Order: sequence, then C-alpha cells, then structure tokens
Amino acid sequence: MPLTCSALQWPLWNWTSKQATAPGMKLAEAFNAFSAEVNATPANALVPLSVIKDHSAATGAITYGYVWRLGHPQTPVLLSFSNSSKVQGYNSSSGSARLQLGLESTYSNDSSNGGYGSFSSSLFSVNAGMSHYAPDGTPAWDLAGFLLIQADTTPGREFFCYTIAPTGTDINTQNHTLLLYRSPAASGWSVIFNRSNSYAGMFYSLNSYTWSNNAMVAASIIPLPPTGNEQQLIRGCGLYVGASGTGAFSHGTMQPRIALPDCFWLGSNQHTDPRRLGRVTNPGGPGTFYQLAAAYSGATDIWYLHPPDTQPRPGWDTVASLPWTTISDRLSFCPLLTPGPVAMGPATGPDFLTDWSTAALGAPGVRQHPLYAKQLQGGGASGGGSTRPSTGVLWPRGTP
Amino acid sequence: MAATITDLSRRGDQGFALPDLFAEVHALLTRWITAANGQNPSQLLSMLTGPAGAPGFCGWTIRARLAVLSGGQPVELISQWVANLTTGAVTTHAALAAGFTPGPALGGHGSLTGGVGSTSSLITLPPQPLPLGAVVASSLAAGQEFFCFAFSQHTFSNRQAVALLIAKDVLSGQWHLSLTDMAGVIATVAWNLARPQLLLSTAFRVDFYSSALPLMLVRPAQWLPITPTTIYTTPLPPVQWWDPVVLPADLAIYNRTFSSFGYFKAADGSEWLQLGPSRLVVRLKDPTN
Repeated sequence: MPLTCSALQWPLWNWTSKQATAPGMKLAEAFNAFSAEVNATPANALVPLSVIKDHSAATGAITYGYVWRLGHPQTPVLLSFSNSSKVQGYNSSSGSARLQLGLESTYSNDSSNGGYGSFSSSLFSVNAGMSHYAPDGTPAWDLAGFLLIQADTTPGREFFCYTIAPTGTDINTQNHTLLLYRSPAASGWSVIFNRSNSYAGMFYSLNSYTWSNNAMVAASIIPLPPTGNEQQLIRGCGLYVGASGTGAFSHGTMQPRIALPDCFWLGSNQHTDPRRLGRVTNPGGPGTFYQLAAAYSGATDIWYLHPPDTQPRPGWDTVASLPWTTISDRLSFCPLLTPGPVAMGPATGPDFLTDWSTAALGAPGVRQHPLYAKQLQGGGASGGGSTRPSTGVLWPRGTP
Repeated sequence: MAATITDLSRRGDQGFALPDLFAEVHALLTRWITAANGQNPSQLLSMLTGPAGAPGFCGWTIRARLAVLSGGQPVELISQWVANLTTGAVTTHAALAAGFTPGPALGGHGSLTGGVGSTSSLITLPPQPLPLGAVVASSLAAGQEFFCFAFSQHTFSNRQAVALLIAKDVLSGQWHLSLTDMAGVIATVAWNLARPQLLLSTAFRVDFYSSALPLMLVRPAQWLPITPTTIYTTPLPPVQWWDPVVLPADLAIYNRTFSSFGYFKAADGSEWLQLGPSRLVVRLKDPTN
C-alpha cells in the first residue's frame, strides 16, 4: 500500500488501557498491519518485523508498552518501550518509561518490567521525557490526545511513523514520535525517536540508530537541521554513523546516506507561537504540512508533508480530523536536492596519502603534493609544459 | 566530467604579482564568457568592468542577465570583487542589478548596494614578496557550466579568496554569482525560479560546520539561503518556500580546513582540489569505480 496517514483521537486518552479501541492496541493493530504487508515483500525476507508483546502483555494496572522485533539476517534487534508508572519525566533522568534497543539474543521473555521482559545488556536505552497521557495519573490533567500514523509499504522505502501527543493546551505534556524506516544503504531497520514539548526547560531529545554493516549503532542526522531564528525546515536529511574506523562507515570509503523518507521535514521552530500542532498549506506545491513535534530553541522540529488524496487506513480518520492550528507566517520551507553519497576523508587531518594540506614540507613535501608537484614540472624559458595536454591537468599555465 | 584546471601560480619576488595574475585570469574569463554566452543565448553574462578598466583598482564587476522576468524586466544579478591597490581594501558584493550605480566609485567599477557583501577584508600588498597560489577552474558542460578563480597569498585563512564563481544553478538552469572576501566570507546572489524571489547566501549547506573529524566530501554543493528572521520583524514574514540553489557536479564541499590547495583523493577514484577559504573543492579527476 502506498503512503497512508491515519489518525485517531480520544477525549480522555488512556495509554494504559488494553481495550482494542484504546490507543495502545490501536497502535499494535496498525503496526501489525504494516508488518504483514512489508514482510510479504520478497526483498524484506531477511528483515521481517513482528510484535513480541503489545499493550495486552502488561501485568500491572499502570504498566504498558510494547516489544517489537526488527528482523535482521545476522543480528535481529528488539525495540522495547515500556513504563510502570504514569508519571511523566521532565528532565534527562526522571520518568520511568524507557525505550530500549537490544539484541534478541540478550532478551529474556518473561514477566519482568511490568510484563515486558528484560535485556541482559542493551545496545541503547533512553528513559527520559516520556509521555504521560492518562487521565488519572500525576500530574493530574484530564487529557485529550491523539495517535497519528504515517506508513508506506512501497518496496525499498518502507517506513512506519507514529506520533502520540495531547491535543489540549497543556504545554507541559510531551509529544513523542517514533520513525522506523528502511533504506537500501542500511542492512536493517533504522530508528528515529524524538521527544519534544513546547515548554522551555523541559526535556527534549532526538535519538537515532542505524546499521554499520551488521551492527546497530547510534547515528547522527545530516545535514544538521537548522536551529536559528529563521524557522527553517529542510528536506533531504539522512542518518550518518560516526566514523568508527570499521565496517561500511570507515574512513576513506564512499558512504551512502541513509536518507529519511521524503515527507519528513526537520528544522527549527523556537518561536513562542506557534508552538505545536501547526498546519500550513504547502507554499511550494501540493499538499499540507503538519507539525509532529513542538520544538523550542535548540530542538529539532519535525513536520510531515501530507500529499493530497492520501488516505487513512480503513477504520481510521484523516489527519485533517485532528485539531490543528493553521499558521500563516514565520516558516521557511527550504528543501535540499537530495544529497549524494559522502566521500569520507582520512582518520585524522591531512595524511598526505589521500588528503594533502598546503603544509608540504620543503622540496620533498612539494614533490609529494599532487598540485605542487605539477608546478615543478615543465620549466624552460616560456614557463614550460607545452608538450602537455592543454586541458584536464594542472599545466601548462596560462593555457585553458 | 572533470573541470578544466589552469594553474596560474607564480613567484612573488619579481614585483607585485597581483595585477599580472588578474590580467591573465581576465583573458581566460573573457574567452569563457564568450563561449558560455554562445551556448546560453537566452541569458547573458557580461563584464561591466575588468582589471584594466579601473586604474588603481583590480577586480571584476560581472552582470548576469537571466532568462527570467520580474516586473516585466529580465532579472539581472551583479557581483563585484574589487581590490583597492593603494589601501588593500577588498570590496566584495553580490546583489540585484537594481542596487548598482555606475560611476566613479571603486575607480570606475561603480557601487553596488543591497544584497550581501563586505568591505572589511584586506589584500596583502607589497613590499612583501608573497608568492601567489592561483587556479582557474572552469567547465562548459551544458547545464553544468562554471568559472571559478581562487588565489592564495598565504595559508592564513585571511589571505585567500574565491574572487570569481560564476555558475549555473543546476536546478533552475540560470546563472548565479558568488565570491568570497579575503577571509572566506561568502557572498552569493541567485534567483529562485519556481517561486520567484531573490536568494542570497553567505554559507554552504554543510553536514558539519567544524573542520574536525569526520572529514567528508559532500555533493551536490548547495547554498544555505538567508531566510527572514522571525525576531523583531513587522509584519511577520509569511510562510515561504525556497528552492535550493545547487552548484555544478564538479564542485563539492570538503570540511577539513579553510585553506586553498588542499588536495583530496576520494575512495571512488575522483580527485579534488580545494579552492579558496570557503571549503569549496573542484573535481580534477572523475571517479574510476
């Protein structure tokens, strides 16, 4: 199925409920449907998705979560999100919810952690600034909330993205967006996890993970999304693995970009208004932009460009059914021409094997420098080099 | 297709080398502009003033008339890189031609206002016998045309410049003009075709802003547009769309250093020469694998 964008909202959100119509099980329903479809694509035979646990696995009244399996031919990984409290985290260490990525081989499928099992060692774990959406927890707000899901099962560019956010005016509650996507440049599913709110000082984080050969590793987003006073949003971002000197991302190699799906725009939105749930008619073509995050200064705002005629999954509402606020000013949409592969430089500064600086020491250094060595060739009264080709090389001087 | 490179480097102990160097570049530029205009008849590049046209000054004022109308008139861009040979001050500016006043300013180059630019950087004048590293890189490949002249008096990042960068925006097919002052500060003027508006820039869109690891050569090279600030702006700027302005395929960005004439061999067999202090690199050899 091509791109779908599906929305549901609840006047009183209960993230802990196990009912089939509650947010948690609706998320599981959408993920199961997406998994079934992408798993049927032959190219995904080695990277199937599946659900190990969903909201119904919770053992306590206030626990909830899920465990998804990200298939991989050598090192399948489990993505686990679980919480045993309704208290929302407000800084980098508070909050009991956590998102973990761990090798399947390190996972114990038992009733620990509220029914969500445990890892003997995890690859990555974040437990800060998770969201609280229940009407009866702490802090005790009666919250309306929504679940918004974009999914595309087109072979080669599959992705699944969900956002949960409150729809009211409570600026303390956080938005939370998780994007799973495939790229021909990575051997498995890449993960981007963003938490944001509009109340300055509260916790914000953007975590991303992808594959270096057959190992899941932390990644950064390039080009860096803008964070100035200009409110620029860009398309064309990809993931980049810090050069570790090993595998596909080592120094001195050509490195493909692990490009994000085209419909996601990243950038800055640090102005006090609009803060969140913005909607903008695309000024550069068809479609409508919707604000998934609610960023403030220094944070990354994520917007989704909704192509016209994009339908929701059966039984779900359209994105337009959610209570967006139309915005008419202060945003600049600045797409990039999709960047190509990166030619990685050497492990350190100039190595004089693949990368030469102008600090070429004396005559030996000049002879070793590709440009400077050319300047020593030729000679003769005329400035030299007349026997050399006239184009494509560094000599002779003065002849184009 | 790799660019054509002409090395114009010269010694500095045989008299002040800059005027001769600029004259040599001027000859190459004139020939290139003639050819470029020949294959782009709907646009027109012209040299309003060259190095010989303004005694006591050295540089170029270049105009690009685009195949685009704005208010019924063709859009015209101007760039100006002019050194005052007495004071050493370098005026660098890129703007719409509407900001141009012909006349005695800058020894006859005229004055250009609006847009982006600076007059704050100095060229290092005699009696220092500094050698000059100097390269002209150009291409006439259709849709990928460019002419770039960069020179360096020293590896100090405030003694080198990309004095001329005339290039196609490969997306719109229109010319745009760019340059840097002697300290690597970029001034670029272009025109967005699809959503018609002036695009100014003082920076490349780069993956990493630092010269630290990881070192990456990224393509295509594209400009970071100057978009309206949202602070203290009345009325508030509307929601806008900015098409990218993209440099030809022979040009890229390499983040190792702000210094001319670094040289990089990529893993795909392509080879690149760093031009000027703005991290611009030009391809000397095509990929071999």
